[in-house]
Amino acid sequence: MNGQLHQLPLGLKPHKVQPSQRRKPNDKPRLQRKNSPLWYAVCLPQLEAGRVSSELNQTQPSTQEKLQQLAERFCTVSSKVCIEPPHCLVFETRSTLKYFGGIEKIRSQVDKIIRTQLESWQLPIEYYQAAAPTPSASLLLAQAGYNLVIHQQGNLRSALGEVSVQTLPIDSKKQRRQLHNSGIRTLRDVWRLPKAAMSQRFGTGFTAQLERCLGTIAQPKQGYESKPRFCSDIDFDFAVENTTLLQHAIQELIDRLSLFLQRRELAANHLCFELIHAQEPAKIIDIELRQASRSAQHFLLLSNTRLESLLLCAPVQTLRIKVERFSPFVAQKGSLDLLEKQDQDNIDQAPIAPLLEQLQAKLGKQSVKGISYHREHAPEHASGHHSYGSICSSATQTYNPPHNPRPCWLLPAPLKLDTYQGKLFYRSSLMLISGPERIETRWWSSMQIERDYYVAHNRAGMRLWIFHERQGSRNWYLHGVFS
Amino acid sequence: MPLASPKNTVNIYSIMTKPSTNKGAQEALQSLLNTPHLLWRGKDAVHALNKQLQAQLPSIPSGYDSLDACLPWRGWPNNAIVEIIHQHWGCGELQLVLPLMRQLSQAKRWILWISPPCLPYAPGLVRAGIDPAQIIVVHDKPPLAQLDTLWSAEKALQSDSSALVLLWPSRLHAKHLRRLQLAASKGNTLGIVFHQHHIRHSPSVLQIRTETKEDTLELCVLKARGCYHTPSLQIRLEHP
Repeated sequence: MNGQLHQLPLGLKPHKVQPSQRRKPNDKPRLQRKNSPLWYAVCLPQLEAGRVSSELNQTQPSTQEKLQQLAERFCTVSSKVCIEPPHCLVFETRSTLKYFGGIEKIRSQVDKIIRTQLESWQLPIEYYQAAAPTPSASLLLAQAGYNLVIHQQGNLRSALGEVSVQTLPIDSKKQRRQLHNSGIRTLRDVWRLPKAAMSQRFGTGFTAQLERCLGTIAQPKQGYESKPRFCSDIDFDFAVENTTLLQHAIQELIDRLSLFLQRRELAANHLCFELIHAQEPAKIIDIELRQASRSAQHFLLLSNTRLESLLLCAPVQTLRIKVERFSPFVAQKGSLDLLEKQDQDNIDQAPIAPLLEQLQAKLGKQSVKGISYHREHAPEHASGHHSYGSICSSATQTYNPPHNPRPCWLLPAPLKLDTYQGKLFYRSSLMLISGPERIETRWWSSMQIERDYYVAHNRAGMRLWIFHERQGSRNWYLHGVFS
Repeated sequence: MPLASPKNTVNIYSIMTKPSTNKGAQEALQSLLNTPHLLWRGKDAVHALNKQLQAQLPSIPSGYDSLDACLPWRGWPNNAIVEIIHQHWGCGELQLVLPLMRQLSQAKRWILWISPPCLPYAPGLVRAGIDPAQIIVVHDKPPLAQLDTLWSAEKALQSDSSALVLLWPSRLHAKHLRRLQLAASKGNTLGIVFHQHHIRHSPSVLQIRTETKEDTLELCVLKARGCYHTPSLQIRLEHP
C-alpha cells in the first residue's frame, strides 16, 4: 500500500479489459458472467491500528466486536457475510446484485454503513474495497488498496498481476525473504513461472493460495451467523423519579423488542431491564419467562406488574432492555372449531404460564409453587414443592396411592404436642382413632426416622396425624392435618 | 331477592296502565317473562320455571348428591364465589371440595390454592384421587400480605386458564368479595373462599356454614342466589 492509494476516491473503477472482451451495450449477457460469483471485500486497516487505543478506552468495543457489528450491518446487503481477521470483511453480492440494481448501488450502501459505523467509533474514515469472483482475490485487492471491480474470472489473472507479493498472507518471514531474493515482486512475476516449480520451491500451500485467488480451487466460505442479542436503551432528558414515567419508556422498549423478534422469527426467554442511576449502581430487573414469548402485550403486563412493587432508590437516568437468550418462535397451535370438535376442551383452556408469570413478577419467584409426589418412605420427603420452572410438564404421571392414611396438609415442621392430665392435647384433648403405622427409614443419614404414626381427633372435629418418637426423647408430635 | 332492572320496570308500568294491543309492548312483556332470573312471579311460576332455570345455569356437580339437590344450580355454580364459613381450618371443610378437585384435576384443569394455612401434602392428595401436578400453590413465608393475597386471587379468577381458585384470606370485607365475584364471572372461574366470619350483605352467590360433629359435617346454606329457603344437611365425612 503506498501513500497515493490512501487518497484514492472511494468509487470503484471497473478493471480495464481487452477491447475484444468488452461487452457492447446490446450484447446478451453471457452465461459465464451471469453465473460467476462476485465477492465484495472491505478492508479497514484503522481497526487494527486503533486496537491499542481502544483497549485503553473501555467504552470502545474490541476489534472483533467492531467487525461483528459491521458484519451484522452488512447482513442488510448480502445474505452471506464472512469476517476475515484481522480487519477485513468479505460478502457475497452476486445474488443481491439485481435486487439492488448494480454494483454502484451496493457500493453506496456499503459506504453509508461504514461511514456511520466509523463515525460512531470516532475512527478516521478510510477503507478499501474491491469486488472479484473469488473471495481471496477480492480480499487481496482490497488489502492492496485497489478499488476495483472484476466481473469475470478470466480477468483475475491480469488484474492481480499488479499486486505486490508482500500483500499475500504469508506467515513465515523466511518465505517472504525467499520470494524477495528470487526477484519476485508482484504476482505477475509468479504467473510467469511454472506452477510445478513454484509449489516445489515455496510449498503447495503457497500455490494453493494463489489457485484459490484465481478460482481454480474452490474456496468454501462459512458465513457469519450473528448470535441474536437485543439491547436497547432510552436516555431520559431529565432524571425520572416515578414509575409511571418509566412505564411509558418500557412500552417503547418493548415495542422495539417485539419488532426485533418478529423480524428474526424469535421468541424471548427472559427480559432484563437495567435502571441506570447517576451515582448508585444500576438496578437490574430480570424477568424470567417460563415459555418463550414474543407478545408485546404479555411483556408489558409482566414488566408493569414488576414495576408496581418497585421502589426507586434514586432517579433513573437511563433505562435499558437486554435480551440475550432466545428460542425459535413457534406459532401457537390453533385449530378451527369446525374441524376439531373433539378438542374443544383443550382449546378453551388457555395456557396457565402467563398467569403464573404475572403472579411471580409481583410476589417473587419463591411464592408460586407446584406440588410433586415422590415414592418416598420418609413423610417429609414424599411431597416436593418445586418452584414454577417445572410446573406445566405435560407428561401424564400415574400415581400409586399410598396404602396408609395420609393427610392433605403437612405442617412445615412437626409440632411438639403437650400432655394435659395424662392426655395428648392439641386445642382440646386428643383421642387415637387408628394406628400405629411404623415408619423407620433414613438410618443411613443423620436424619434417622423411627416413628409410630397414629390418626387422632380432637373435640373440634379435627383429624390429626400424630407420631410418637421411638428414639431420643420419645415425644409426641403433630405432623399433619386431614382434610 | 332478584330485582327487575329499571328498564324492565318501566315497561311493566306502561303495559299495566295502558293495556293495549301495542305490539312492541307485548314483545317487551314476553321478553321479560322469558328472563325468569330478573322477574319474581310467585310460587307456582317459580316451580314451573325451576327446571328451565336449572338447565340454563352452568354448574359443576359437587360430588355430594344431597348438597346438589338443595342448591339451585344442582352443583357448584360455575363462575361465582362460594363462601365456606368454618370454625377452624382442618375441620373437614376441604372435604366439601375434594370431589370437585378430583374431577377437575383428572380433566387436567388447573387449581390454584392461594395462601393456604399450610402447604398441601401430595400423598394425601393422591390418596384422595387428586393429581398434584394440576395444583399450584401461591403462598409465601412469612404469609402473603392481605392485599397481595386478594390481588393474586383476583388475577387467578380473571384468568381463563384456571378452573378453580381456593382462597384463604386473613380478613375479608364485602367489597373484596364483590371484586372477586366480578373477577370470577369475567374469567368463568369458580372461586371458593374459606373463612371464619359471617359477612353481612355478602355479595357472594353461595354461603355455606360448616360445623363438624364427630363423623359428619353439618352444612347450613346461609344464602344461595335464586333460592329462598336455607336448607341444612349433613354430609358423612370420609375418614381414614
